[in-house]
Amino acid sequence: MSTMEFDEVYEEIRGVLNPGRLKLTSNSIVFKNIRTGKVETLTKDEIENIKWMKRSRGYGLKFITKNDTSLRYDGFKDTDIERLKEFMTINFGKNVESQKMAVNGWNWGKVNFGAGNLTFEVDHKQAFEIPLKNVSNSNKGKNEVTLQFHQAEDVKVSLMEVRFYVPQGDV
Amino acid sequence: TSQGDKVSSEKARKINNAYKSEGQLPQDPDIQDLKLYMDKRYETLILPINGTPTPFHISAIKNVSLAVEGEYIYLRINFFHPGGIGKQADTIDKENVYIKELTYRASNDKKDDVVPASNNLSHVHKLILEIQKKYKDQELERKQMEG
Repeated sequence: MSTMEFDEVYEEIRGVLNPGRLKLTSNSIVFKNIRTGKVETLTKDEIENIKWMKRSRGYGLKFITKNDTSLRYDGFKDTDIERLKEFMTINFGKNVESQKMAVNGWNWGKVNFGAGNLTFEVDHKQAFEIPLKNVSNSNKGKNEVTLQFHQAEDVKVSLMEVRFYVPQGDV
Repeated sequence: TSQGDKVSSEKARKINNAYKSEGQLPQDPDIQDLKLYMDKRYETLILPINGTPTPFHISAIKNVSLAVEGEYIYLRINFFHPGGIGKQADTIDKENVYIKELTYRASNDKKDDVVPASNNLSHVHKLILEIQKKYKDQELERKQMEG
């Protein structure tokens, strides 16, 4: 199989789901935003890592590029995973890693930085991720860090700010 | 079940678990639309953070407030943390970062929808208060039974 197509995929950017069509070819992924008509292409050479995780609409694929950008596409079914893994192993030479999500509902954990993202991990699983380029402003206080975010234009409900308690010495 | 080392009950904040597996998370349309959602059955608030529906058990929430500013409604959610009255064992508190507060905003304007997006924030605000009260009453009853 030299291509795979998905008609109901959403690209998530700044908390907004943009509907579109995703096509995987032997050396690229192509996403067409059906509202704007804009086409976005990522070649296999630009891909550093691929991850698979549960998202708001089914499952999502995250492509991390060599220049620390993450592209997130949601809307896959768990029955899609095997074909996708196989396709990307054969065509891109990449293993698709399964990312386990934290579901225990705690508000405490570890903060990690990598691939242009701030990741909050709870009980060794990922709770959420913030692309650092989404941060418009940051403030430090005693045992505290506050981050404010750029807002997407057509977002319905948006996250404006997060405040962290940081133990002594880590701010 | 609760977690944490042995700390005296007046000092330790017990944060309970929301779900055991990813499969238990609900599939409500509000979650799919990246809005806020209160899972009453599991006493868990699910918050959209950059496209990830992130669960927070009600026992982690300290208080919540709603404010109107022009065309927007703001919902601020405050969580327990060691800087306030939310200390857990030192082994946890010295090694971990806590989320203290999250602020969400939505427009009062209907725009192209049937109802304004801010309805989601005011509705969830009400549910948080309701589930918090229910949880506190349950905890009180449980403590009384333990003697």
